[in-house]
Amino acid sequence: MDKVFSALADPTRRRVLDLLKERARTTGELAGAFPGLSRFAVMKHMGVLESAGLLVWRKEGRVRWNHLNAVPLREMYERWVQSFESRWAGGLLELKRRAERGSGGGKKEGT
Amino acid sequence: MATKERAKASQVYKIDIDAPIRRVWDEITQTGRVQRMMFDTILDGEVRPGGKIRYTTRSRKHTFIVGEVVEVQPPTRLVHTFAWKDLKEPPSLVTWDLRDAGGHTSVTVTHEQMEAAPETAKRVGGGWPSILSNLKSVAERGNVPLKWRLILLMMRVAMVIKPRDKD
Repeated sequence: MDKVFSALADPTRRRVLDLLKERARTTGELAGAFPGLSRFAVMKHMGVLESAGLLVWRKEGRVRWNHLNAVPLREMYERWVQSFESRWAGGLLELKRRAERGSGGGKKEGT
Repeated sequence: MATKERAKASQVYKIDIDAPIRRVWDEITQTGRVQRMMFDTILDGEVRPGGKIRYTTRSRKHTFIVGEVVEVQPPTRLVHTFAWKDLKEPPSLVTWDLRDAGGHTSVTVTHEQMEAAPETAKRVGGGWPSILSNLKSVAERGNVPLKWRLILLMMRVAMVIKPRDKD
């Protein structure tokens, strides 16, 4: 989790993730998206993202395709937002119970 | 060019799970039982090459996903086609790769052949991170997080009042 946070604490790396969120990209494409940075600098950022688990890649022929792996972000979200959402979901359940009691039961299909 | 289009439209997801590979494999391939990580669906069919599979609701009244098994290598590799039943898009391809990392299991899902299936790509892009995160939770702790149990309960309620699929 520390690695995820430090990987996200940099605007260039966040921009890389934004680009990968749209679609998979080759290393060349990513390097080309940062004209102010050397290819080496961009690759270093990609290495940080990879070790945080946010970037995964695979080879197609000789080309390396980089993908966003949103799983660590999802886990981060689950860890900190989940408790609030549970309350929200609990609220919905309560609302549903009240609505059913109030409406006297609508038309039901199935089962 | 074809390779490029294919690569652009593919998605890769990865997670490390603190559970033995066999346990993770069984969770993914178990049939006829509710798969908590797959949003409480049941995987129906035979997990063998050529076997037809589908993910249905608990009641089996509704089918979400249909596919055909392409390759099975327990406990490391499962490849199957994947099509949303309600979308008229060509089937895509899902590959589960499991690797034993000294008691841990590294799981990679590759979803490809979605060049002509943009809606499928959109849907699964939101789904896989939750599925893998829930798989980890189930394999390590025996259940999905509380939030998901509540969401799944709501989904069940919604499904009860939905009419049965036509076929």
